[in-house]
Amino acid sequence: MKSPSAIFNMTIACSAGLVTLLGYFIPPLAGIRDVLLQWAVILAGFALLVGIINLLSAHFRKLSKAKKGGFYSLVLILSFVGSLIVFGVSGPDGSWSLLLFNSVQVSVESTLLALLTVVLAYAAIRLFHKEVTRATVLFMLTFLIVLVSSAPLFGLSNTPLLSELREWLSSVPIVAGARGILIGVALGVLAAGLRILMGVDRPYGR
Amino acid sequence: MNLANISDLAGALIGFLLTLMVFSYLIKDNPLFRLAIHIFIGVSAGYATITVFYNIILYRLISPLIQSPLSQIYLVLPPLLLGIWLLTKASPRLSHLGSPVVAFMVGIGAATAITGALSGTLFPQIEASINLFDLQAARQSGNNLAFWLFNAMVVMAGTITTLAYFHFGVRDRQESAGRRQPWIDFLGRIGQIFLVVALGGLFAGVYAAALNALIKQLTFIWDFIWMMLGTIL
Amino acid sequence: MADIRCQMCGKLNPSNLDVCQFCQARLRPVWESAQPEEEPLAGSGGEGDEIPEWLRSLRSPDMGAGETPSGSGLDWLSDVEPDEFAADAVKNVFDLEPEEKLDDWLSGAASLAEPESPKAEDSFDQVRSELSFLEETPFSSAAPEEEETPDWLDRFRDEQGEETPERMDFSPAGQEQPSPEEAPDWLARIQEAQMGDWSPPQEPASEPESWSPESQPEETVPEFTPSEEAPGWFTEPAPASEAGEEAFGEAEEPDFGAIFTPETQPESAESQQGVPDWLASLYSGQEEAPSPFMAEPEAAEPETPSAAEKAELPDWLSGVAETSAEPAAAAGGIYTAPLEDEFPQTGAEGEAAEESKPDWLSELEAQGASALEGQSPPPFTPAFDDFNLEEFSVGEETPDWLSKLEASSSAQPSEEAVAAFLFEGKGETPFTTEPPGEALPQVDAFTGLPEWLSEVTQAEEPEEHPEESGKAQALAPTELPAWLESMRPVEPAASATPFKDATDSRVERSGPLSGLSGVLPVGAHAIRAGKPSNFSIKLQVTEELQNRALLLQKLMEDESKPKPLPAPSAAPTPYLIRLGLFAVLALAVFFALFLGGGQIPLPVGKAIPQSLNDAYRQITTLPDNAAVLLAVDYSPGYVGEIEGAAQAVVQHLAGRGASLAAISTNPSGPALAERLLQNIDPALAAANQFHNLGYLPGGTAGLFGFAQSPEAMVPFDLQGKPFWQQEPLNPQLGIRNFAMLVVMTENAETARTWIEQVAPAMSPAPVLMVLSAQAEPMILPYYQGKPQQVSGMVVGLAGGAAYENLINRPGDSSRAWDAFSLLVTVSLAVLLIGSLASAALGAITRGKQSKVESSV
Repeated sequence: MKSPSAIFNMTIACSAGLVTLLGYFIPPLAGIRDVLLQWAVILAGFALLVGIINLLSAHFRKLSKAKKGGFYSLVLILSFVGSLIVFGVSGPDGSWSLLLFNSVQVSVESTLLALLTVVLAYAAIRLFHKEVTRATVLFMLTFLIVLVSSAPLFGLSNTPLLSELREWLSSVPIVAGARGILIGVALGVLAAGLRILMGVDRPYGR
Repeated sequence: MNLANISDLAGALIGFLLTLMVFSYLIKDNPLFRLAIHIFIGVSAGYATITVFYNIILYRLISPLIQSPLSQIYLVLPPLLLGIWLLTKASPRLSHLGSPVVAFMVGIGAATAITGALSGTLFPQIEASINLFDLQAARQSGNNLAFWLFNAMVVMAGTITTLAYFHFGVRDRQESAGRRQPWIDFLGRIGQIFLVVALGGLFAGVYAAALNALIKQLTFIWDFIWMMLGTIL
Repeated sequence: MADIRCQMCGKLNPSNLDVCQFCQARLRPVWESAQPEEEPLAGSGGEGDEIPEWLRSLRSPDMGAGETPSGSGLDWLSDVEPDEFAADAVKNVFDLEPEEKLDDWLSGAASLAEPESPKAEDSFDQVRSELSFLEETPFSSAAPEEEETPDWLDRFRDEQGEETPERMDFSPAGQEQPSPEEAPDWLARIQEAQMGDWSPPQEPASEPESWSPESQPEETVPEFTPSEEAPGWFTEPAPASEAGEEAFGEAEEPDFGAIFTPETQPESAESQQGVPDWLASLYSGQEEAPSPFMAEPEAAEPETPSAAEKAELPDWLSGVAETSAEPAAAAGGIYTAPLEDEFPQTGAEGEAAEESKPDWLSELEAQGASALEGQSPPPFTPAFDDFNLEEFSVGEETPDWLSKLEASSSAQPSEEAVAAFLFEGKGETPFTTEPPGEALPQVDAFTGLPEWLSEVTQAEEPEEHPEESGKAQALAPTELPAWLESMRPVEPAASATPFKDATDSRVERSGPLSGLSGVLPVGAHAIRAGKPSNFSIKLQVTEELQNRALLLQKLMEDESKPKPLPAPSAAPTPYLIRLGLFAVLALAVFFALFLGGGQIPLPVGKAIPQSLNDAYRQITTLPDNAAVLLAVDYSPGYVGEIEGAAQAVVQHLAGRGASLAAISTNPSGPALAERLLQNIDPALAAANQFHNLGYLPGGTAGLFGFAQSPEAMVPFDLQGKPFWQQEPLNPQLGIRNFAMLVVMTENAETARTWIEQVAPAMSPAPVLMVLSAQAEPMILPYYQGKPQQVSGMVVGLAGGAAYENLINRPGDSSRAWDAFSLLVTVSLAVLLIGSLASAALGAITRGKQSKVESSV
């Protein structure tokens, strides 16, 4: 037997979803639907704040208990406070905010993505080390064809054959596979949404 | 050198150092890399906080109450109270109290996702698959009709077999007993081919994006070094 | 109804209860609760047939069928003369001094009706008081309620250290008698009886009560009132002790004290209607009788029953009654002489009763008188062989019968000792009232046989008891013929003659077994400390254990030994490969940058994808002063790939004079949007053309809400200015104010969400995508499908470079094109060589493994 809180939560989720869905078909419900959507957007902002609070509390706990890595937690907290001051004073689109944003966030994220180049190349090289199968060969061929066709080879002029091949790959087999994936994803989203609205799935907790 | 230049130089220097610290991970995990990552997380969290404050708290809650409190009360007060209620999720002990608010958000999100998937992807893509065999459009495009038709059949076959591979293939692996139909198994194997091709294209795109990021950062390093050399020299 | 006080916990309970409601102890005897209260008393009516005749005759003729004789079924006990012998025997058995405390609890029971002044010793009173619980008492309601502990117990506590135990003295003379109002009912009745106010009880006449509880009437409990039915002998002064009245006022106990105290016997026949005459006659003239429980046995002159009482005694009792027994000496034994049909008579009344004495009794008396003449009453004779009688005998001489008994006694089981306390037959009492010197038959406490019978038994074995001279003289041994003599069975050594273990002549001097010999010693000397067996302290190690120990030792030694390190593998470690890869790629980039760019031609013509051309065409055909919505949803990490293309598109849009509004569902989007807007050619930039709407949370729900009511979702831009009231926007149109939607993202899911949620609301406005190369495959179906959901796409660095080339505005994409081309070339070479090498190495490794496996 479900607990009263679980039933209450499920009722809220189902009713909110039903109003949103019926708002498509019943005009009087469209106004209520828009109000609920506005509330949901504001609550989503608070949810982001909850995540940040949780992050800071975890590092505060780590710092207070003097666990290993407490120095980095201190660095994180200090960085947060400092950036909060700078962004708060300058504004989200201020010059100082952009300076801090460009120098820290853009630099570090770009560098992390750059590291991915080496990792992906090493993974592609090791692909044939364990086993050579038709799938791995096909995968590697497709990868190389698409990569090579994305830019002309250095020192070589553009090869029309390679471009047309890449064009055909992109428009036929890749599209076919992607369309199948998209339809499958759409069906999955439909099923998951219906399960949530019917109360079968309760990702919001009991 | 004006302040803007100094600030730009300082920013560049910080970026340069952080870039090198993150690149040091290629050797192995080291304190410099950890330091750079923690600084990055702190700054990102700070900017996200300010953004939420400006866009939600300031412009969606405080300003409407100041400008027109009565007319906006029904749009402001309930989400404000619900938002405060949602903050209990930050506490492990009080986390269960915020479940109703999360349930509200999940319900609305699920409903919007359902409508979008249906009207935005499922119906158009099915229609697009059907319209592959639109001969009139083929003639208007000026392409070879046979080639067009071949492509259409390949796309249709690829779509169906990819669907067959995903749903039946996964189901077959999960089932401990029983066999699937041989013709479904055959379709799944063909769909596997299209899937591999699609994933190959995706992998190429990811690798290309990573190459671009590498180019950008190395270019930044190159430019900074030359700038510093030019400044010094 | 009057409440009943529980004997265990001392709390009051309703009279209708049989079991205490607090401690679950029985309030009434079982035999009493078995019968309803309303039932007539035992012995009345229908029960009259069940009561023995001798008992019935004890009842007063005025009593009803249900009445009990004289308020107690133990009236006959009151006629029994306390036996000093028994009292002294008890004292000696327990090794008690006169002031011993053990008697306190016993005397406390007896002192129920006694004043504080020391009473005369009365062993029978004591026993009577103790056994009074067996009999119903109608006086249970008379107890005061303030006391909760039993009388006897309190008296025991109070009298710790007191030397003079109290005795129950039922004598109405010379004792403090509380007023009838103060005394319990039963006591009051006794008083009244003594004063002559006693009236016959209402219980029907019945035989003298036996010890069987079932014969006890129940009606006497509730109906008995002090003024009505207190027998004379039962009327006694109220005890001066605190709880004396309670303990015995409520308890349904037969009042032994009253039974055995001759003084309580009413002088008049009317006053002693409850006391059988035969019993009363025994005690007439007897002042006091020592209680066997008392420490100080005091001589009490036996009473002799009055003539009138003697006349009422049955024949078998009258003879006994006339035999005046001297007050029980110190050697009286409670274990001796169960009062069967023989009651000692003392004094002058004994002569009158001699006439009705049976012959056999007379003979025995004669024999005993001759044997015991001048002697003190026989001391207590336990049945143990080595019982040292000297400790118990008061007199200097041991009577012959006792010494015979000692010689002939053998170790008896304790059961016989228990039997002495049990009244095995009707009319039995453990006390004997045989006065000293009286040759009254004494009952062996352990065999249960009367003395005379024991003597007779002893006389049959003259050879085993050569010490018996008296009885042996009566019978002359016959001469058996030799052949018959030879046929005499050889009896076991311990069968005929009780074996007297002379090795242990120790007599126990303390404890409950004091005076007995052959008791297991409890001292240290009794326990023979034997030499303990020697156990070897050496560990008995078997061969298996030794082997295991050696194995463990070897394992421990191996653990400390350094193991040889495995040979390093020929293949380089992964991080070296990664470093090598990075070095190669970095060199390629630096080389391309060193070259300055322009080495690789930008995509043109057919090298430009159709999707890019469509995007370019869409922007080109955009109406003037159109509002374009920019969805800046890419991450800061993808700045190098997307920002170039995005910058080109934004530049193109700005060149078209479009009003740009940037919004993001990513928290970092506002900053990236600001970078885009700030990098627009200042000549084309106009402050009122670019608006940064900031961050829109909520994901799918946020976009759907923005599509339905954008003004409500984003009322202000990042500067705080109301956006929707600005030109050229019309607040009424909402999202339809925008002529184009340009989505910039690296995530295919984000692009799909914009297509699903916002694009339908903006229809027929075109949707352009500025995507990363990794998102292109998943968005192509939207572009290639019909109806077309995406109008154009600018993908990756190549698309940005191409677009920059189209608008003729070189940017970051154009600059990075050479490096990208070189990297792609280098990557192709590295991947091809590396894959082939990896495949070869893998094949070699698998071959080696297969060879190893096949060889094994």
